Formats: sequence, C-alpha cells, structure tokens
Amino acid sequence: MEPTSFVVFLSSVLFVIGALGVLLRRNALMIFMSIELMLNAANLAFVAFAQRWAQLAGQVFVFFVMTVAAAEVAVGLALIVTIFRTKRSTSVDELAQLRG
Amino acid sequence: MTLQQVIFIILAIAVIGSALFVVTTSNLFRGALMLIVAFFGVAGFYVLLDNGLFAVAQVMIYIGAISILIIFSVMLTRGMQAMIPRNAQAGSVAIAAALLFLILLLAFGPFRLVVDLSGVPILSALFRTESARVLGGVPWQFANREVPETYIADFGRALVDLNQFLLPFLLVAFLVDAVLAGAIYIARQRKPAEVIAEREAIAKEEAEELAALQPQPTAPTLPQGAIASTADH
Amino acid sequence: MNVADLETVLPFLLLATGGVALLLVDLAVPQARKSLTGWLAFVVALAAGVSALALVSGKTMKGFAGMVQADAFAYFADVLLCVVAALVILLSLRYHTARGLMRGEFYPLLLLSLSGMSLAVHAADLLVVFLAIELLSIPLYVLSGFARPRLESEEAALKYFLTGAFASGFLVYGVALIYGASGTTALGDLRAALLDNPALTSDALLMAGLALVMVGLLFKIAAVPFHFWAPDVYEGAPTTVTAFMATATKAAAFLALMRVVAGFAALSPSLAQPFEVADALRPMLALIAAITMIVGNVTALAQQNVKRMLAYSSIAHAGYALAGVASGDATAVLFYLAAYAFATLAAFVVLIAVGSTEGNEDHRYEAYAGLGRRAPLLGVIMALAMFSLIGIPPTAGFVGKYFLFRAVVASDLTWLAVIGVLTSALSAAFYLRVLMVLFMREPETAPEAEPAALAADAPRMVAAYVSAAAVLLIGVFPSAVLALLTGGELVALVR
Repeated sequence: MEPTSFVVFLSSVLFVIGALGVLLRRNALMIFMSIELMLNAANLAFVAFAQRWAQLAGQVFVFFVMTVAAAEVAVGLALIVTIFRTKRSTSVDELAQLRG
Repeated sequence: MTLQQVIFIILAIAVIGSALFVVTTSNLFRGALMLIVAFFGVAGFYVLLDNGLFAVAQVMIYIGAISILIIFSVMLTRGMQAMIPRNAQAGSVAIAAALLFLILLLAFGPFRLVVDLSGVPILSALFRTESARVLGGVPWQFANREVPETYIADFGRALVDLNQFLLPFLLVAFLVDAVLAGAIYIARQRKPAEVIAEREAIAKEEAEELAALQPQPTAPTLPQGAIASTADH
Repeated sequence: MNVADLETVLPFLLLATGGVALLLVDLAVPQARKSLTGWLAFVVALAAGVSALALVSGKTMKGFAGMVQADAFAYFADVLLCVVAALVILLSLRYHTARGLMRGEFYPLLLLSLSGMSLAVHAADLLVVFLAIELLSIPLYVLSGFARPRLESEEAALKYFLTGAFASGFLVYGVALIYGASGTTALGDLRAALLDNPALTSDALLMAGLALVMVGLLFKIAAVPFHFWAPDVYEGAPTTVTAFMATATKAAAFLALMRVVAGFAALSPSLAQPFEVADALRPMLALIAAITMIVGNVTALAQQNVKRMLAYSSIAHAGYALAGVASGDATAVLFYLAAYAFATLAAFVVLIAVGSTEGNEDHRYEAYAGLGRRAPLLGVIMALAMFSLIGIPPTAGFVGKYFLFRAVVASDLTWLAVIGVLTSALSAAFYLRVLMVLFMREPETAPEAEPAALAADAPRMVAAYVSAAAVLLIGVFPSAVLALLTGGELVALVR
C-alpha cells in the first residue's frame, strides 16, 4: 500500500471540510477554527509530498506554516477578544453595522 | 491488512470525524476540544509518514499553544456560546460555492491520486487521463529512504544556511516582531482615564450623528429669507 | 555573508530593520511628541526608496539560493511602494492627532507591512510569496483596527483578518499541490520543469494547485468573486490605513500575482517572452477582469459615501489592471498601477483633510457639499484625482488606460478592451458626481470645518502637491517614465 497518496487524499478532504466551515459558520471563533483545519490539511499534504520527493524543502514549508499559524492565532484571538469586550459578542452576522 | 493500514484507517476516521464535528457543532467549547482531537490525528499521520519531528512540533505548537489559546478565547468570550444562528441569506450561496469547490478539488486534484478515472467513460473524456499513479509526470512512488540520524540537525542548519532557507527564516523573525507589537497593541488594557476620555468623545460623536440624522428644515432651493433665518440660529 | 545576496533585498532589509528599531525608539518618545516617530518612519521609507532607485539596472540577479530576484521590475515597484508609504505617513501626522490615534505603534507596523510588500515583489519562490504576503497582511490587520475601541474599526480588522486568513489557507494548500506535482516551489525551477516535462503541463494536481493559489491572490487584490470584504474594511479602517491599502497593498499584491503568473508561462511552451500568460490562465484572468470592471463600476454608482465609493473604485481598477495581466504586458500593468496609486492617493488627501477637522469623521456626499469653494486647493486636487481615475487627458489615468487597452487589444482580447472603455465611460458618472457635490452644491448646514484648518497642515500639503504633480507629470511626459521602465528589461520576470 502507498500511504502517501492516501494521506494527500485525506488532506484534501480535511481542507474541503475546513473551507466549508468558513463558508457556512457565522461565528468568528468557529471560522477561525475552520481556518486552522485548512492550514493543517496543507501541512499534511506538504509532509506527504516531501516524503514523495525525499526533500527537505517541503518539510521546511511545514515549519513556516506552523509559525505563521501561531502568529495569526495571536493577532486573530486578540482581535476577537477585544471586539467582544467592545461589543459583548463575536457573531459575524452582527458586523452589519458596516453594511450599506 | 497490515498494522499500518489499520492505524491509517483509525486515524482517518478520527481526523475526519472530529473535523466534521468542529464545523457543525453549535457548542464552541466542544468544538475547540474536538479540534484538539483533529490536531492529534494529524500528528499521528506525521508519525505514520516517518516524520517524528513534525509530530512533536504539531503537538507542541497546535495542541500546546494554538488550541489552548482558542480555548482561552472561547472562555473569555463566554455568553454567546449557546445556540448561534446560522446565516440564512448566505446559506444557499455558500452551499453552491461548496459544491463547485468539491467538484473542482476532488475531480481535478488529489482525488485522482487514488481513483483511476481512465476507466470511467464520461469523466475520462472530460479530463485528460493518465493513470492515477503517474500524476505529476513521474510515477508516483513511495520513497523508501532511510532517515539519516543527523536529520534534525540538518533541518536546523538548513534554516540558517544562506544557501538554503535563511531568508524565509529572517522573514518569519520580522513577522513575529510585528505580531508581538500588534497583538499587544490590540489586546492592551487601557488606563481608566484614557478610556473615560475616549468614551466621552465617542458619546459626543454619537450625539452629533443622531442630531445629523434629524430631518433638516432647510431644502437647497429655499428663498433668500429662509436661508438667512437658519443662519441666525 | 555574501554582500550580493543582501543587495537583492536591500529595501526589504532597510524597511524591516528600520521598523523593528523604530519599535524600540518609540518607547523613548514622549506621548506628546509622537509625530517624531512618524518623521523617523518617513526617513526610513524614503531611504529604502532611494536605495531601490540606486540599485535599478538592467541586470537580473538571484539571491538567497534563488528565493528572491532583483530586477528592474522589482526595484521600480519598491520605489513606487516607498514613495506611496512616505506620502501616507505625511498624511497621517495631522489626521492621527485629530482623531486621537497618535500612538507610536502605527509607524513601525506600517514599515513592517511595507517591508513585506517589498519582498513580495522580489519573490522568486512560492515560499517567499506566501511569507511576504503574511508579513504584509498581519500588520495591516492590526492597522485596520488601529482606531480601537471604535467598533467600526475593530470590525473592519476582524473581517479583514478572517478573509485574509481564509485566503492564506487557499494559497498554502495550492502551493502544497504545486509542490506535490512538480517537486519544487521555486518559480524558475517550476518553469524549467514545465518545459522539460510536457506531461506536467496537463497535470491535474498542478492545475488544482494553480487554481487555489490564484484564488488566494485574487482575494488579496479584491477581484470580483472575492471582493466582498473590501468595501467594509476600507470604510471601517482609519482613512490613512485605507489610503495605504488601496494604493500600496493593491500594487504589491498585483506584482506578486504577476510573478506567479509568469512562473506558469511555460504551461504553453510556445511562449517566447519570459512574462506571458499561459493559454490555460488567460481566459480565466480575462473573465475575472471583465466581471470585476463591471461589478466594481456599477456598484460604485449606488454608493452614498465617498470613502465607500473609493473602495468600489479600487475594485474596479483592480479589474483594469487584471485585464493588463491577462494581456501579458508587465510594463503596462506597472505603469497603470502607478497612475492609479497616485490618483487615489490624491483623492485620499481630500478625505484625510476632511477627517482631520474637529468633529465627527463624515464621508457622506452631503458632507462634501461646497467644499471645493471653501477650500479651492482641495477642490482642484480632488478634480485632478477624479479626472485621472476616469482617464481624461492630460492626467496619468488617461495614459495608463491608453497603454493598458493597447496591450489588451494587441493580445487579441479586443472584447475585454471594449468592456474596459465602456465601464470607464460609466465610471465618469460617479467620479463627476463627487465634483458636482464639491463645487455645485450648497452645504445643507453651516459648514463646521474652517477652510483655514483644511489647508493648514504643511506635511499634508506636501503630500497633496507631490501626488498631484505625479498625476500630471506621468500624464504629460509618459514617454520619459516609460523609457525609465522599459530601459531596465522589465519583462524579465522569471529566468
């Protein structure tokens, strides 16, 4: 059996689930968790592909994606918590103030 | 079935199941906990793919840091964890987009690594069909290489090697700087005096906005006298 | 340490180290004199711009193991980005004091974001494209929310963050698939791999990856199916940040997009030029360009708020520039982006002047009634900006559109050029409406803003003169600017 190609396939399913989560959910934290799933899917695909090409490059990419994900968490959660303090809610539907 | 296959199937069920739970649950806290399960499953795949380093990194970064932060913010934003209404208007659009997206990704992309389309009559006419095993121009094979003992040291050196990944490493360093400054700026508690002054200013503006929304008695085409009278007060 | 390597990303290094150093310096600057931080940031941005100008040459150099590429294209983009950022800093000094935003963190974050833009246009590897776009975006998320605790600013930041992170997810997964198909993330190697191995050019994995990367980048430039975030974010963010996003960010994201498109030119091995658009991409880009032009201009017609109208205007102009990308003429696109950036900046000078007065920041059309007569200088600058955005000679916008449509027609996309001309004519309706309001309409209430206060700020006036002069000079002497651009082998995007 070739686990690599199945792992890539599985990662694409995970990516689609994450993307659907972003499109369907309206809660900022839920959207954020879905985005984390998408990034994990990408990492999984990278590790599998790095295995295939027997290279360091793909794995280095994973390292950088993890760093960026942690950075986004810091800024994103700070934003979500701050806006909650201002408004006592994090539902994106209530971002209607700007619509026009 | 080999042991590897059994583990693969168990991990796949765990990851897909918990991911589905995360995007469908209405309870934020349970969603965050199931996210940890998904992260663990992904770490399991890294072990299966012979990559212990990233399995450890996954556990440390995603579970140790990111999940914990997410759970913190779920707790800090309590009070709206109960039922969250779905967005009715965007629903149909999102479903249409999602379907299209699924077709595109699964019919063109990684799906074809495992499913051979050349035997399917209509699809094989639509998409050019090489065998599923030779996507990417070269036969798809599992590189059965030995992992060198110095692997982790090599990885570390590659990150700071001018001829390999020094620039991205530098870039990430600046990124983290920016994030530190930015996140502190966003999340910083303000001094009470500052907050009071700002609230007063905002309240004043809101009052002005309200006043501006009141219908104005003057129309642009009023006679001379009317304009003069509005100018008086 | 190899000096040549450092030279290839010198503007980036100056901006990033300058930004980090400024974070520390700012700690020593007392709260009452925060404009000092602004001036220091201004100096850093100008220094980076000058360094890029000094480095321009016909040569194409690779640095850092082929991760980055230094060519005339990248250096000219650096100069444009740095000048725009310096002008935004000049505009922000007074505005931030008036709006209670005079906090030191603004300028270092702006410089770090600018450094990400600079690197994005130098990128020769998808890894650098991804990381540079993150470095560009993350400070911008914070800057959009800079006016906290004002709710609209925080909401703009959250919305920008969520869509930006979503787009990054697409970008990363796309890069993963491209890597899986070709075994490389370097754009030059990718080109070589596509030329060597024709089977790869019809590879499903590679195509899916390319599509996902394009989606991620189209989010950043706010092209139409992926534009929904832009109006809300542009309206909610502080006006100086909006000006920066509408000009510099847009230009940088476009140039990164062109690097990627150029990397895939070898999808059609018959293409001779290094920057051409593969047959597989051209129809898609042309279609999105057409939809973006139509939707952007038509929606802008319905707006009741000048700031929001400019947001839709920026979407519409992304459509024009995207038409240029589809035509495969890098020079025309860069020229157009420069013309658009200075015209938009000139328009934002007026918005920021209005926002810098006492009282509520109000950008509804009514608030601008009669402004052109109370402050004639602002009126003239707005008129110049609007004429340029429509594309009326002798402004930069006219020449930009002329080169652009000529390139589009030359690449057998005449229908696209026709749509471009028609939507430009349509756009005159809402751009001229601004001028009507500015010069013809009487204010309904007694004007709060003193004309003197509107024109008093010296740095803002400098920014106004520079952007207005750029609009006119590019319009009157296009051949001189073009000679500068084409002299440096601009088309060599990928080697």
